[in-house]
Amino acid sequence: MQIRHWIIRAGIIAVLALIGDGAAPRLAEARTIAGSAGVAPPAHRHCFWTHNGTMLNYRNGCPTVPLDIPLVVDNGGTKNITVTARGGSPSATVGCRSEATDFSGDNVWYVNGGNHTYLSMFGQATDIVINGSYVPGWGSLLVNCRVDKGAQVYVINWNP
Amino acid sequence: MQIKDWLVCSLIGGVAALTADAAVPNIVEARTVGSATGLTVPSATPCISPWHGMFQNVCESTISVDLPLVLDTDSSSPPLNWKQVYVGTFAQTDQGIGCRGQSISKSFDVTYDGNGGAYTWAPAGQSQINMYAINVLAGGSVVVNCQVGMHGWLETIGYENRSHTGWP
Repeated sequence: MQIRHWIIRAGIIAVLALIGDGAAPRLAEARTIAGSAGVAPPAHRHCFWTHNGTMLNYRNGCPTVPLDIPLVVDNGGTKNITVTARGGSPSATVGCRSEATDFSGDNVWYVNGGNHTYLSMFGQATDIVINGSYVPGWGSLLVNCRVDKGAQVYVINWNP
Repeated sequence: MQIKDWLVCSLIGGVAALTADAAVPNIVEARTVGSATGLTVPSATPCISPWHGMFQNVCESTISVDLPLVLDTDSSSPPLNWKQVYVGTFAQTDQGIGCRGQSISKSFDVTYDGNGGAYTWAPAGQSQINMYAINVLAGGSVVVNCQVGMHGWLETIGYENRSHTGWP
């Protein structure tokens, strides 16, 4: 009898706990998008070739081109971003920084003083890690990369 | 005794609830976007005419577009690492629009949907292309690659997690 009561009570409490938990928003822990979601200035869009989700600055005569990749966030807070990219050499590389704005777009937040973080290895897919990007509530986030001729952006991962 | 009983039961119940809850991944099950979302096609930009988040190929020739999907990466873990994608189409002719799903790992290994890299073609008029069995790798991306013929429309893209591989 005693055990039966315990089971019933535990069951009731478990159901109540689950119902309560159902009201809490479930946030994704990580998010991914292909580099081909990036947007270049109109004058230099022709420099890029999209291939298997990547964005390659391939055209002869093209300069280093900025590429903005908007990152969908679910809330404000500190975001960690990893850009996976490939460059052939220090002169054909990729450097990225995060840019966050408030709702009105009047204020912009950077990390590392707004400096770009560049690839540390060449000839293979390599991660550029940008940690600690602050996004205010109702703010937006993007990653801005500088892509040299011959360099390629593969994929971006972040906590949303 | 009665209070002690309830405290013990609460503990058991709480643990049971947390255990059950831990099995639920923090991800969305399905997502829908317009075909123009995140679309950047340097070689075909003049041909793309957006309308209400979708787009039409206004050129006389076929264009190739990559549609990147925003993925919740934690859904790349089994058993939710399979995706199914639907693309709404309006083609001017039979086989006027064809799509395939590409899964790309962080190290750039590319795999395809259950059609093995072949395009699934839409009939003329309003239709939908279904792509099954896209296997997402941790930290990898998924794009839908489509061939859009003259004056064809790509409409809404929907994608969802699938926990099994019992594809039709």
